[in-house]
Amino acid sequence: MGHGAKRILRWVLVGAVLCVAIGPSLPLVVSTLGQESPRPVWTDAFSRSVQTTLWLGVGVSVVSLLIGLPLGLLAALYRFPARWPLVLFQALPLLLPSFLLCIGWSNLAAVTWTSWLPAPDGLAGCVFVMGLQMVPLPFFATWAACHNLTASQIDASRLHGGDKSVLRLSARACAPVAIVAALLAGTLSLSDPGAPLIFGCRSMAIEILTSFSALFDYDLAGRQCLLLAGWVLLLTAPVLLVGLRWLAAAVLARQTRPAVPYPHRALSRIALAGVLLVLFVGIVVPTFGLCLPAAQNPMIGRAAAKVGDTASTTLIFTGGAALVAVLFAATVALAASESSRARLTSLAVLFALLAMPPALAAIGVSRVATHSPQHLDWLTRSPLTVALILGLRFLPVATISMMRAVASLSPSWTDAARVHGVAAPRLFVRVILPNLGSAITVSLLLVTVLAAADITTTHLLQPPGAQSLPVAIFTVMANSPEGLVASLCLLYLLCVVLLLAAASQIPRLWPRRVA
Amino acid sequence: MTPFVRCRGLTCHLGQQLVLDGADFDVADGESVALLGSSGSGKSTLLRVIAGLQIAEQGEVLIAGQQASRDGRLLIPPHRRGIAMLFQDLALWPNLTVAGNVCLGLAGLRLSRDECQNRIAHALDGCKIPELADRRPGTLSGGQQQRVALARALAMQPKLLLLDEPFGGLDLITKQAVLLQIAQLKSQLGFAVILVTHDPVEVRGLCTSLAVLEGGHIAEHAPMDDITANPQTALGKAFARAMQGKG
Repeated sequence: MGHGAKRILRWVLVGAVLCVAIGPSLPLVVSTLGQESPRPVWTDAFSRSVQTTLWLGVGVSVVSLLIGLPLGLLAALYRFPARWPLVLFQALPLLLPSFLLCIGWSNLAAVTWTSWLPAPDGLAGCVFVMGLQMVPLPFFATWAACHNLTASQIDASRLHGGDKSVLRLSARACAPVAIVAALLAGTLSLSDPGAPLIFGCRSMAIEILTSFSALFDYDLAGRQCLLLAGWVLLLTAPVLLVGLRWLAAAVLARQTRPAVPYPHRALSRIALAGVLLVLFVGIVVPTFGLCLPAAQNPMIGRAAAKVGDTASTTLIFTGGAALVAVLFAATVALAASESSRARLTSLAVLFALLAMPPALAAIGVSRVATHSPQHLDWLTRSPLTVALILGLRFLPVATISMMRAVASLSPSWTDAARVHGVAAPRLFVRVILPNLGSAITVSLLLVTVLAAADITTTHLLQPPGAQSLPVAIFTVMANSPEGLVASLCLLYLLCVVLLLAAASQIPRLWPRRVA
Repeated sequence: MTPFVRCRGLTCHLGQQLVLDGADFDVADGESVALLGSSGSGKSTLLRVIAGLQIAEQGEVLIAGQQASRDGRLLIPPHRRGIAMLFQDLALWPNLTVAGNVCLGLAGLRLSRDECQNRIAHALDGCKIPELADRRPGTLSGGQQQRVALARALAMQPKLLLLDEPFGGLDLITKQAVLLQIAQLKSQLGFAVILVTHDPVEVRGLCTSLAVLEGGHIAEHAPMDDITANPQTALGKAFARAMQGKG
């Protein structure tokens, strides 16, 4: 096959995956546009919710950036005890549904001996909890950008101006990436109904949730969803246009010798104190809040039974989503590996889709399901549907991981294979796939946990009789004993911690192989 | 006598930049030629075009008298040219053992299992690394990795070995040992060598002739003694002074 034909095939593959990713959102757009509305969408209440949602997005972006950027710099540049597990566990809040953390804070606020503490509530409470929850995004973006500074760049700035100079240089290099990540964090928070529901903050996500779960008006929910998607697109388009190149360079670049974390007496201590503080406030305190009702009225037995009932469904939904995401991500990463334009295009489209409200695709698919013949139920209203839509939603996460891994494959490995006559499938199985092993495993674990935390998609699409654990918690939390809800939340948290602990062992399973 | 490699009028772009501009280059059977040129002058591109890893938009490459590529068309695929290559970063497959690297390197020859094992053993013996067969490249020193890459290349029993600055990371003693080994194997097996380098030590250790790539074409190509005595290009003159130890 000639070079031209190969290039066309690669673009066709990238285009096909992007079309599949966009596909589920289209039915809602097509069916809603041009349809007469029995209920008005733009009411006073909805207008207020738009304002609230915008403030929520801005607040979450600012909070996550102000914490994530300096902490990411310090953690990437300085050595401190238990650095790797502490850094990895910074990701924990992002992997939990926001309502779970809010339940913890609410439980804590209800206890009399914590009454001197200001209880998180309303918009401020949402900004506080969701801002802390989103810290991992700018934190890890900064971490990745910092690792793209070479050891010699860091050494030179340390020689010339000490650690103040190192921090200034790295902050300047990492700030654009961290800002883009923080804006993405703010955008993602716009469509999360979890925290606003518990803290009584009427955001657009709550309006949509009310429309489909209380009013059962899918048309109204669809139009509200489209409005929210329009806002999100308006906000993300400039960010993607300006910032994606930085983000892609930071996340995808590779270099031969990154800086080794430096043992600085004061800054290492500040870095350690910072990561511990964020973990304490972001995870330990709400977890303590979750433990309170569970300790007073332990219902671990019932909770464990519920976990047992929902385990297989949760595993099918999330494991299936992880497989879908990794399969498509690997296809995009390999097909776009030789073209920076293809990489940027696919990242732009996938990030725009990630920023969209999850209800957009879910309501679209449920609409298709109502009109589709029964023999297509396996595609439109089955566990496969949930897995497919969740997998496509978290495709960008897996794609970044796979693109990083593909970029670390030396082009000369393929050249050597060509000189020696190694056929492409054999090279793929013997060399490429084993070297993508750690990225595949990380993507599988990440998407599994993120898909589990996505309530909206699962809630809207799960077939009758099949309920995942997070949706079970979400649906019982209003009318079940607090002890049961808290026990369920604790068990869920335990599962995520175990998965994260498993992820921390990946570098041991796949030690860096450098030839 | 027909040269093993004959390049005529090679023109090649990398992006917008013209790298080869009508380059003519011949390498005789068993010749050892050092290819010199300033950074970015197209030395690696010329090697890749000869190997068939890249195709020149214009011009032709003949291997053993047969047209291997012509005017943007690949006529003989890389693994059918009888050419092996040592890459700048060695291009060892890191997840495979040393024996696995050499074995996968024989994939294009479709040998029987026994013959494959014989070739692996012979190549590792020839490069004096039979004890490393079960190790992975990441656990080896730079010199050992060089020998593994060399063993993988020589297991193909090539007629021409292309060396694209592969000795950059080696200390002087290891470099001289590896060069001596290649020179010995070359005299035993009779393959030709094209060495891309900036280092007079490497040239002195392995090559009998010099070619200078300048402005996208071969500006001079002659036996080493001729060029050191009467260099025609600025680079040739600088190299001749370096070879004579005058900096």
